[in-house]
Amino acid sequence: MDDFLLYLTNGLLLGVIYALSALGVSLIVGIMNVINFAHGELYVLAGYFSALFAHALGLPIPVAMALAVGLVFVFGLLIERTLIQPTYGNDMYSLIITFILSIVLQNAYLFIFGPYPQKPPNWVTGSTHLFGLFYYGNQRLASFLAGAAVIALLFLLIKKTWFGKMVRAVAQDREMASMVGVNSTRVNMLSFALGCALAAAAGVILAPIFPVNPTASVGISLTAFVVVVLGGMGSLEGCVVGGILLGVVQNLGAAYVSSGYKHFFGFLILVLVLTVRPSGLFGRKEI
Amino acid sequence: MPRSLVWLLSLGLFGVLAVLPLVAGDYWLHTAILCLFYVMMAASWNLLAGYTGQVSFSHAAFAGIGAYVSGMCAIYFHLPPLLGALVGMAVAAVLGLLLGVLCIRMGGIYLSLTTLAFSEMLRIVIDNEYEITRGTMGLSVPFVLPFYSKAWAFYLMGAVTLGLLYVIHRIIRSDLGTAFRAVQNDETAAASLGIHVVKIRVAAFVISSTMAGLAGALYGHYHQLITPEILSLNLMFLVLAMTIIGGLGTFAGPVVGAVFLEVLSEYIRIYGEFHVLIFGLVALFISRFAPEGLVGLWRKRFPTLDAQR
Amino acid sequence: MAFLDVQHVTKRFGGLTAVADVSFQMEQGEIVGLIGPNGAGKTTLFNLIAGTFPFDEGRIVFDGEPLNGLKPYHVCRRGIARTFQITRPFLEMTCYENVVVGFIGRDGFTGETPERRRRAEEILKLVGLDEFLHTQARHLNLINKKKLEIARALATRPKLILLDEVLGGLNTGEMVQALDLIRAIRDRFGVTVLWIEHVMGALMQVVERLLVLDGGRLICQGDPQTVVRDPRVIEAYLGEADD
Repeated sequence: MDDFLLYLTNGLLLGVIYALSALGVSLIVGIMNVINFAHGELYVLAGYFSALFAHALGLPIPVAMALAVGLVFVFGLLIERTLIQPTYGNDMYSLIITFILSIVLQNAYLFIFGPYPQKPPNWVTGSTHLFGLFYYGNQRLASFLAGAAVIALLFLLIKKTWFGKMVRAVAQDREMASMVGVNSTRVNMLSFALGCALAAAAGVILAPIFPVNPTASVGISLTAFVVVVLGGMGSLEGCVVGGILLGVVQNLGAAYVSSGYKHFFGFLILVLVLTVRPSGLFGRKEI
Repeated sequence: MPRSLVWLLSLGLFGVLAVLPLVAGDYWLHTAILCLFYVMMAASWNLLAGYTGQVSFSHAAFAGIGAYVSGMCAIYFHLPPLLGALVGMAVAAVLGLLLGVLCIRMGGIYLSLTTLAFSEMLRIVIDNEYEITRGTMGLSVPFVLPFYSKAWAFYLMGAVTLGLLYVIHRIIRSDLGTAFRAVQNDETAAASLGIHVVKIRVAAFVISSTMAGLAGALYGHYHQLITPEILSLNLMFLVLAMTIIGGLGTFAGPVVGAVFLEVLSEYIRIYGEFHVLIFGLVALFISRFAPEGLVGLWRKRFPTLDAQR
Repeated sequence: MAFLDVQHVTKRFGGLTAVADVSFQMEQGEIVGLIGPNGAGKTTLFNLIAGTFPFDEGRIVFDGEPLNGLKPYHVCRRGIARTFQITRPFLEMTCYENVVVGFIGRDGFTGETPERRRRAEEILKLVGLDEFLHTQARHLNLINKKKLEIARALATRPKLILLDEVLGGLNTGEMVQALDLIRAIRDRFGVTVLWIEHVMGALMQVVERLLVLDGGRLICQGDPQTVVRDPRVIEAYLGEADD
């Protein structure tokens, strides 16, 4: 029973993390109908940056993290402007381009950062005795809290601010939004970059726990896609619920079936969802 | 292109293929065989992506299915490799049909994501079922022919490749090919004209997957070692990059792209594993600035040759 | 039994009733106009007949058989073809190939036969596209794109054709061509025509009967001259700023 609770806690914590790293994909799909295959690579890039800034430049950890996220945001703007904008209206081409970009980035990381995992310093040390049952690493708890905070901030941004209103308008009806004066090209650029920054946020928050290496990105992207489909394309709420669900299922599955099959369950969920309810848990109703 | 030129080119190509094993050393013969494998993979992926607009990420996975099924037939049931390859092809066809029916209704992005998930699931299963598949160690399988000869393996692969290209060419020029393009251009309009869009899409997916299964099976038996690397995203990327660089949606594109990239990779191999990075950058550049690839550039440069088409 | 019998058809999108309890009949060989202000549900009604969406209530019987629940490709094979308000030819294909798609959809994969080739050329000549046989559709101007859509629809050997705003965006000369073409569709091919149009003057020259939709309801039908004088129709149109 203690074991079960441990796996469940692990799953919940990981679930928030999954939700965090999938939000960027979900945001971009919802607004632009573009799947960003290079999502995981941006996560990894931010992980590298934060490690580099903290270790090599000796910057304080929060500054290193903020700088890393900021740089990836700018990188996202550049990607949108140079690669995604010319593909508007052709979803297939944006898919192909971001897929190629992901391979390019993976190999560039190998070239620049080398094959070995890198890790920014921990924010905190030690562990906490949870529920009087087991010890849990403080860094994991801190990352969990930071992840939850980022998710909360994103929801505030989308639901409460002017920017959020514009984004939702474009996501709902691009034509109408541009008729009432929303510059949808600029909204696209900003939301794509914001999606990238979310990947980066996940990267800097998680890199202390899961060190980054050039191919770590593949698993991150795939997990994010599973979460997005599970929650329903473009639904941010669905993304959170889907992330937590996936985290729990994966951890219980890995514990009670076989750890080698940990990721298998995620893909199985994805295929099942697509068969039974393609719109996902919180999918938008189609007109 | 004028018909006579086509014949002349084909004749020349045949000639080159026929004498290549006599003049090329072992190393280049091996490269040529790899080229043939990539040509089969890229041409069949192009039939799906370039002519029906469906970006599948499971093409390498279907090659893996062909290779593993055929290899296991040889090891566990002692089937001759060529017969095993047919079984591998059949299994790829059936799985392609199942996967196609499952995800093509939803189209677009969903197909890409489902095929990606499918290929990763398959890779996990193969990695983990060590007793049967030998996991990452790889499965040792018999040579494609009863006797070992690179030259004959080349002739065999060459014949199959030409056969496959012929079939693809026939499909493109047939009513089925016209339906493919109609569905790619505008599925709503196609449906309004009586085209069963889902059936056409699934047909393309099954045909393309079956061809990948055949290519994978032959490649596995040539290589004599099948590893999960064959269904990795790396191979998928190579196939995609070859098609894009050669020219998505053109018949010659994937052939040109496959030969070009494979030969290029032999030349830049000395720079280590970074040839993938270079391919990626080239593919990115081409997909951004010349979406019709090398073949498209050629046509722009020499428009008259194609005017009579 | 009527050729096309639409009985109490209703379609709701969420809270909005786009088509409400619409009933009408058409006889074989008629040319019927379907008019109404913007947002009256005309194109939705077309989409219901063509099977693009299922309808919530009612029944549509065509040529003696119900169309309920059929998908667009199936409806087409029953003999109903359509054009689109915003033209959607297969842009990367030639005019000839565009028409061939219609043959394939109706007859299956027969392969290129001399007979099919002759008929494709005949249809393209009838609509006046014979000189663009091997031109890609994306190079055509608007009137020719519209003609190509009609040609493509005729290739499916329809008994009924649904035309959605053929005249919009055409100049006077082009309109005359289009009207001749629509008459020819009926007279040469014996195809029944149901036609949505905003350009009333031109419509009145051709149609034998008018149906008027407003707010999803069929408010009036009958012979064109009577219909346009009907107070309900006048009110429906006066309520609208443009047109």
